[in-house]
Amino acid sequence: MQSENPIFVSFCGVSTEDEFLLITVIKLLAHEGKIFKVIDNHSQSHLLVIDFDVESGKRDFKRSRDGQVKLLIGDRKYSGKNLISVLKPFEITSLKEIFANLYEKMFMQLELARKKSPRVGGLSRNSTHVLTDTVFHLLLSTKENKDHVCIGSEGYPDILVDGENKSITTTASTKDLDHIIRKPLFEHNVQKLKGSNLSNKEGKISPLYNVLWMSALSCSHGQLLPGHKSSEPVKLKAWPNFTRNGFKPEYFKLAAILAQRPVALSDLENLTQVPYAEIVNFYNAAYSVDLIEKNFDNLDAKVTERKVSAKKKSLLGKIADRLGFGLQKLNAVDA
Amino acid sequence: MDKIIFTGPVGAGKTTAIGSISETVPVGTDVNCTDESRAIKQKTTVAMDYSYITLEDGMRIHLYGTPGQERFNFMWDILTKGGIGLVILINRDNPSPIEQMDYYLDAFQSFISDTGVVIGITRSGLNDNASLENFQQRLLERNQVFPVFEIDARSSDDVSILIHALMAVLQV
Repeated sequence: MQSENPIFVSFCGVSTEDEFLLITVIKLLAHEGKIFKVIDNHSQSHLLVIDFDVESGKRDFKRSRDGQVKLLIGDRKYSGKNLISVLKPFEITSLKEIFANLYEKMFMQLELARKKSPRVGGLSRNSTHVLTDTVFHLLLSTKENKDHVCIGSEGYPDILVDGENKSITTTASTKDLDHIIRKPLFEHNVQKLKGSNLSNKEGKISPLYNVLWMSALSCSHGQLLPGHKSSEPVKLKAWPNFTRNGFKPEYFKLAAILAQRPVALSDLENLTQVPYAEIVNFYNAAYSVDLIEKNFDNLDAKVTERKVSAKKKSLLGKIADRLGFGLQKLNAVDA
Repeated sequence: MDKIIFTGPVGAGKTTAIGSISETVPVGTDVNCTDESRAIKQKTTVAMDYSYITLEDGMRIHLYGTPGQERFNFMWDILTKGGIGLVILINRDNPSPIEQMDYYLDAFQSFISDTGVVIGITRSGLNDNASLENFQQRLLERNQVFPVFEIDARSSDDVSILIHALMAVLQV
């Protein structure tokens, strides 16, 4: 499966010596099932390795596409979208680790993009947004694997994520967190830590769930989490804490139905008239904070549904309209 | 008459919550506490709190708060008659807030099954035994997935969110 879909890599302005090192790394990774294929056509490659100290490298960099991942090697550190910077001279061990990490991230992204789906969360198939390249996905996998990571972002305080205790430690403000979350993962410096490295870090400790919820709504863009099916019935185990987390008014309708009975995401759009992309954003957020229940064996059990008259529905709607929401709450998601 | 009922133990913030979303200062029947409630607050509601909100078409939705002390619970049936939904407020700093939630869910069981309920958890949260997850877990054990939110009863935003959830529950 993996060898059928290699990651195409091309070298731009790279010296013969450096190319030798890169090829060696690629060969070593091939033994681990992480397949990169070197091609000459820069425009067709997923990953460009660019020597930024030479003119031809800089020229190729300018010609590269936004969606291509760029690994810049040079005497200086660079930062930017979809960009990883490696200082010269580099050695095989560290380069191999960088390539291995890149492979993990890029392989999942490419698989998702290749996946033939009737719809990708309400977005067009050409959408360049890839959920696995988001801080949300990193936070979720850190929680699921009980890892400890440090997310560094230029100009912002570090965020230490403790997946084991489901907490984060940071001096970043909520506004900072929002900026960090919205940046693509490649713009961050993510380091895996050992548990003991976390104990001496300064900052406020807060629940990981709050950031997970916030990041799911900011980063999902209507893309369902990899491995999840829109046709599978799901139910809420509990209502999300809307007073303390971001929400959109439609989420009340979704929560009311999913708290009552299992429904497939694909059926919710017809049932609620809420756009599918918004349904997916809500689902990703609820799943990430462990509020989703799955695996229903007995879907025949009938749920007693109240018959609500049109007159009463109208009254309830008017009450909701009258009370409105604080703008701040809504902007928490829309910003 | 369309009305929303606010209930919960003494000091949960019922009068404050009604006041935070209503158009007028709630009309109350507060008297000085003479029993064990005195340790919690000086005055308490003995019959009801009342206020209202006016909808765009001029229609009024009446907001009633039940008395917190159980010895006045004969008022509960009277107040819930014709109600469209229930708001239960629980003070998290109470020594046994989960049991209190159970108590009110059981006491209003019939009204809840005919209408709907939302639960607001108020106060500071210094009680380590009663996180929001504890309330959610208890509801799960009761096989009831009702909206339960942390709220500040003084915040109209928080109380509005609670009512919005109630409206959503009543529509499905």
